[in-house]
Amino acid sequence: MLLEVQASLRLWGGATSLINQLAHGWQTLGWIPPDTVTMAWGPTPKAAQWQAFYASHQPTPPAFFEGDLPTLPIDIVAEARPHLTLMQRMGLRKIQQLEALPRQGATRRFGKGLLLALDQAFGRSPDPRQWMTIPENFQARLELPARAENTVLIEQGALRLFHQLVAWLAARQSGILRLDLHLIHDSPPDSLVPLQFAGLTRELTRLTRLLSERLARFTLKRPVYEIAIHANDISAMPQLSQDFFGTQQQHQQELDALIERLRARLGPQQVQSVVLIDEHRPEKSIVFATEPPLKTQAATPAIISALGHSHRPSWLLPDPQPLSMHGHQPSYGGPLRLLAGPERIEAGWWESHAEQAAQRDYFIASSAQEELLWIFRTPDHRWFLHGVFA
Amino acid sequence: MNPLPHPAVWKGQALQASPLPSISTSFRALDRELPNQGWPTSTLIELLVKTMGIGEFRFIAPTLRQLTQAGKRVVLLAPPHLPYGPALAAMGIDVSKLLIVQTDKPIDKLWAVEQSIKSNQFGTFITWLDAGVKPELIRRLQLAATNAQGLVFVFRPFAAQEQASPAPLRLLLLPRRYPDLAVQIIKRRGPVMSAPIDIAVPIPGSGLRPVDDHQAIIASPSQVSSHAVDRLRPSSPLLRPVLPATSRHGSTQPN
Repeated sequence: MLLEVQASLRLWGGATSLINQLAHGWQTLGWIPPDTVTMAWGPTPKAAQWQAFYASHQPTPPAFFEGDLPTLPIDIVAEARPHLTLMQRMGLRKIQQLEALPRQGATRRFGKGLLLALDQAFGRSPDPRQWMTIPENFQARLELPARAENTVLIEQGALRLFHQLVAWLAARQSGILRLDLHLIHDSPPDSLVPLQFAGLTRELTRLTRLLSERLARFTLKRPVYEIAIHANDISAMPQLSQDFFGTQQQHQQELDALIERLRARLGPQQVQSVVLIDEHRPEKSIVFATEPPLKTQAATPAIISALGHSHRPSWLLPDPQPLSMHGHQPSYGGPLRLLAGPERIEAGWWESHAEQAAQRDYFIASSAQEELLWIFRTPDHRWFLHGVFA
Repeated sequence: MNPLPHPAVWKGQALQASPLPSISTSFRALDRELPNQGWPTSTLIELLVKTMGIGEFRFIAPTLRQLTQAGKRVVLLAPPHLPYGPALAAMGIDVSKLLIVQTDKPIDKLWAVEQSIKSNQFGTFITWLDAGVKPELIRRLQLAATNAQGLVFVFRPFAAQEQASPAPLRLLLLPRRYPDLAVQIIKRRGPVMSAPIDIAVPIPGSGLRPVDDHQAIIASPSQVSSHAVDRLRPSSPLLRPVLPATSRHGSTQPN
């Protein structure tokens, strides 16, 4: 790990103090200098890196190493390692000896990389580094102007925080999927109002709408003094270009907004999309996906094309409903007339639970009221209603 | 007389043309009877059904197929049972475009309708209402529907035909022997329709395979042989007799 400290030395109270603080910091993280951590510094990133490397390969590594770079052995230079035997035969042991070589000859023998590394270590040529960026998150707190015993004040306060959040997100061209609103009472624990979005967003209206839906269903047990929002999952979200006709992407966003609004009021399980599964048992061949964001499949499973010759009802009863019997004849508000069938569906015998196995003869029956029903008969001659051809 | 018809002048016998776009019902006989030759958009369309299962969904399925394949979304709000995806796919409906919203309370239904219509993401909106629904709810649905760009269907029980309804288009769906369904328009912007029209709404796929011997199936179940698997019903895999390949042939009953 490389730290650029020159610019902030005064802040940390000088180099010695900084090194002490760092050593202490390592210890609290569980890395105890000098056994596991060795520190070194130098005027350039490479110089510091090489010295730290040298120090950590000593029989008793010091916690902090401060040496004279030109007098150190050449094997700490990564670029020199392929040529070590040749260099040894040439009598090169230390970095200063490498430095003293004529540049043209050295480039010819050892390649451009070695000289460039040396130049960078001694600050003769630039050594640009990528800054490490810590994953971003957004936190903001707001003390409410008065003790809030209902959600109106909270909503107003949250709106101010949302304004900050939206501006912050817009500057980063990012969006959020989840936002936590903490309601801070006079004593812990805080109440948490999570807002889950169906898709990435940084739209103020979407945030506020979802919040008011959530708060309308939230009972405040204790008065609130302060509110805070935390957004931890920040993902890049490109700015949408405004299109005269309205693009697909915009439609998706509006749809996401609608789904999360419906979910907030009706409950997350109540908004579903249809997913088809390759399976012969009718009750298992369909799943209602409720995960946010709603997944829909593009490809049609083979079962649909296989169904071309058989008929399936548009409504399926989640649990087959036993039919009353009229002698041997099944009846549903009157005796049923069998129109078509039988179609044998026999599957699920591999399941560990015996009741999962299905062995059924399906018929299409019509009732006295001309309802078209999907009924089946089990091997023990019981009849069930399983679907309606609506 | 001015030979050019004025849009504000409407003769009693003629169907009123509305400036709103319409979507064909895919049934020519019915299209002829509807103002603008199709389902009117931004309008609450009431479908009064005698009993469920007479082909009421197959009746609107061609419309849904047309809309979903054009990329429009369809909301099914509080359907009576599970919408069975494979069957809907067999009708040509793109099931990935369906959104199912489950709710029981009428006020939540209304709210969901209003929210969905506001976001204008939907080609079609279909909901099912109970018998005891208040007329105000229908009125608010109709108001919400006027802002919709797509179609809004409401399935209501047969008894609702006695009540006055603010819906500008009301259809009665009457059972007929499969594969027919009778449709009578009881309210439209136009003259009263005297007799219902019969339209065919067969189940998609090849024709129904008739039952071979109705009495035999009902009376003596053990005589029915399976057509899917060429052996008799084994009650349990463990009890299935292990037969040599040659004698297995003889045990199969011809259908």
